[in-house]
Amino acid sequence: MTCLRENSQGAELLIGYLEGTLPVAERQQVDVHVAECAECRGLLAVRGSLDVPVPEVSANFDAKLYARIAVDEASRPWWKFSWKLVAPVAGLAAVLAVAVFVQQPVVQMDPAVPQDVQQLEQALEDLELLSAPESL
Amino acid sequence: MEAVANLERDAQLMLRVRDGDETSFALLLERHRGPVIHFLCRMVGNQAVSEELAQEVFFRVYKSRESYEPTAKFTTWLFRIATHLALNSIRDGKKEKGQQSLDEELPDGRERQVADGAHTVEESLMQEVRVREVRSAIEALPEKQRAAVLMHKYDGLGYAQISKVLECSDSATKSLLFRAYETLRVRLAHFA
Repeated sequence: MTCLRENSQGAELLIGYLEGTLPVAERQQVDVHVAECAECRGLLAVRGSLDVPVPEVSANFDAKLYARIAVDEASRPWWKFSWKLVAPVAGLAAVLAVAVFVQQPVVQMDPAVPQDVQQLEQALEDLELLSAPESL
Repeated sequence: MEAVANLERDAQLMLRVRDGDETSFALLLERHRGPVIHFLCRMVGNQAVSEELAQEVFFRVYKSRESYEPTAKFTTWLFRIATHLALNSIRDGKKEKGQQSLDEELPDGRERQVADGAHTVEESLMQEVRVREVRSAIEALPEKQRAAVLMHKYDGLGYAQISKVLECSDSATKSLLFRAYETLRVRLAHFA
């Protein structure tokens, strides 16, 4: 019988078996082979023998990270700030600017003269302009 | 909105980080700090270097928040950054003298203490020898095999996800994993 370790298809079967992703028929095929093959049995078992303790993470890990982020953020130029965050503020500022511009009067009026007097003077000027051709 | 709701939790958190939510970044850090540091520690075999690299990993995650798009699983992206940094560190020979290796003794001659259960002296010695052998067998693996087997064994990543992290085909990843486990089987056969 050919060992599964001797070809790439067999190797893929063994990895699939380790992950538990094989269809039933292929899993049974591996089970049958492994029952008779000590090497393949060893390969499937080695993953479980790799458990080794790891050191504790340093207590100041987060503090160091946040300090680095804070330094980086403080040195960040304004044009590199996110447009996703700046866009709403910029949009509101633009709307306000347009509103202020629209409300500006087109004709500058003399603030010392009352508005109704100015309107009357304007109307008289218009009448004079209308009657001008007759006087020529 | 529905698309966001269907995303995995980490991706949702990262999208909130993108929108300026610092609490979500703290949650991501809390969830992934340990696995990333332990992965790096096993990759480079040095605690100080692994924490330095992990700082860089999370710093890069934070710096990239504005351009983040959940096109892949968050852990795929995270481990891709970690793996690149680890491989570069190994290649640059960053494991400098003076930094503490996991297998080195402390200056006063004591062994480094690691989290472990209670054992008798003899059991502890046997356990220590086994741990050293396992560590050194893993460290002796070629870099990509080592990265693949560490993610597969300790971080619960399947070969499909590991392929994306290492940017190679599923078939190539299965081959990497097979060769790594086969080497470890031979090297650690005396413990079986």
